[in-house]
Amino acid sequence: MRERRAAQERRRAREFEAFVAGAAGRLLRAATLLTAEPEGQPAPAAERLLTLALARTYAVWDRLRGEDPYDRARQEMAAHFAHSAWRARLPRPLRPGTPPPPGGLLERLSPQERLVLVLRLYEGVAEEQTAAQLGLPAERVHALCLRAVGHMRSKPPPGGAGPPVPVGEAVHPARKVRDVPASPPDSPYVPESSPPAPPAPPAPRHTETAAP
Amino acid sequence: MSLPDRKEAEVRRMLDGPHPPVPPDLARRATADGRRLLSHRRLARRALWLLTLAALAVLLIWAAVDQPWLPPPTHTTPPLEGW
Repeated sequence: MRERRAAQERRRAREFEAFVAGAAGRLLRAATLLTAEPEGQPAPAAERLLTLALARTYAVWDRLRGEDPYDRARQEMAAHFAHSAWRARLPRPLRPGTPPPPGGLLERLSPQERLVLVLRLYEGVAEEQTAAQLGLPAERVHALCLRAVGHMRSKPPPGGAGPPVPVGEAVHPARKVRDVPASPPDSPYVPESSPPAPPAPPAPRHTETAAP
Repeated sequence: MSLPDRKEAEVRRMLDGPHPPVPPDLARRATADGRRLLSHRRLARRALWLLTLAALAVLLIWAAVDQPWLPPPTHTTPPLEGW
């Protein structure tokens, strides 16, 4: 009994190690995008997120029953990130005078937008599946994705080549863009089943060629 | 290719990039954390089973001693005498 359990544990550890060796790079990239830590440097928050997701995957390894462990790890990561982002949704106040820490590619997006963008575009998860994993309606996921894509295209990535493109509205660097765009304050409530109004802010036409 | 598709492809290209170097002890740490998680779960399950069994044992002992299905002795009705 004890020997069988030890053998099972060794087998599980071996399989898990092979899985991590193959999948960790891609998952770590996704985690770094989620936590918006700069590229090319150690990303402690992303590593913590990934370690936790992998540990939970290890804990259910024997009960996966044919499910893809990569899918499972990604799901754990998304769930934990959504949970922790909800807890830490208020931006930490910066001390006046200190420059904001350098951020990654998705720094200016809200955590939810990051999550949807990474799951939909980086990982290529279907819209309905993303919605089910995040517990959101599919229309909401669609809208979030459109909005995130609009943000990404209207602003040059930090440190990217090319001068900053003048955008229609002046964007303060510290401003979090979270408000619902393109709806006048006195507009009547539009149910989500109505014909899809473009939820993303209209991307300025003149950035089309300037974006890298 | 429609316009939204083109925009999405553009952002997808921005997201795609080289994978960052994975710390060499990541698998070991994850395995250790996962083992700890498993043992915690096993411990919690065992404690729950023990608690359930203890509650069942207490219920059985109480029922055997008290025998609550017997009608209660009639303390309240005065004895009928003098007929």
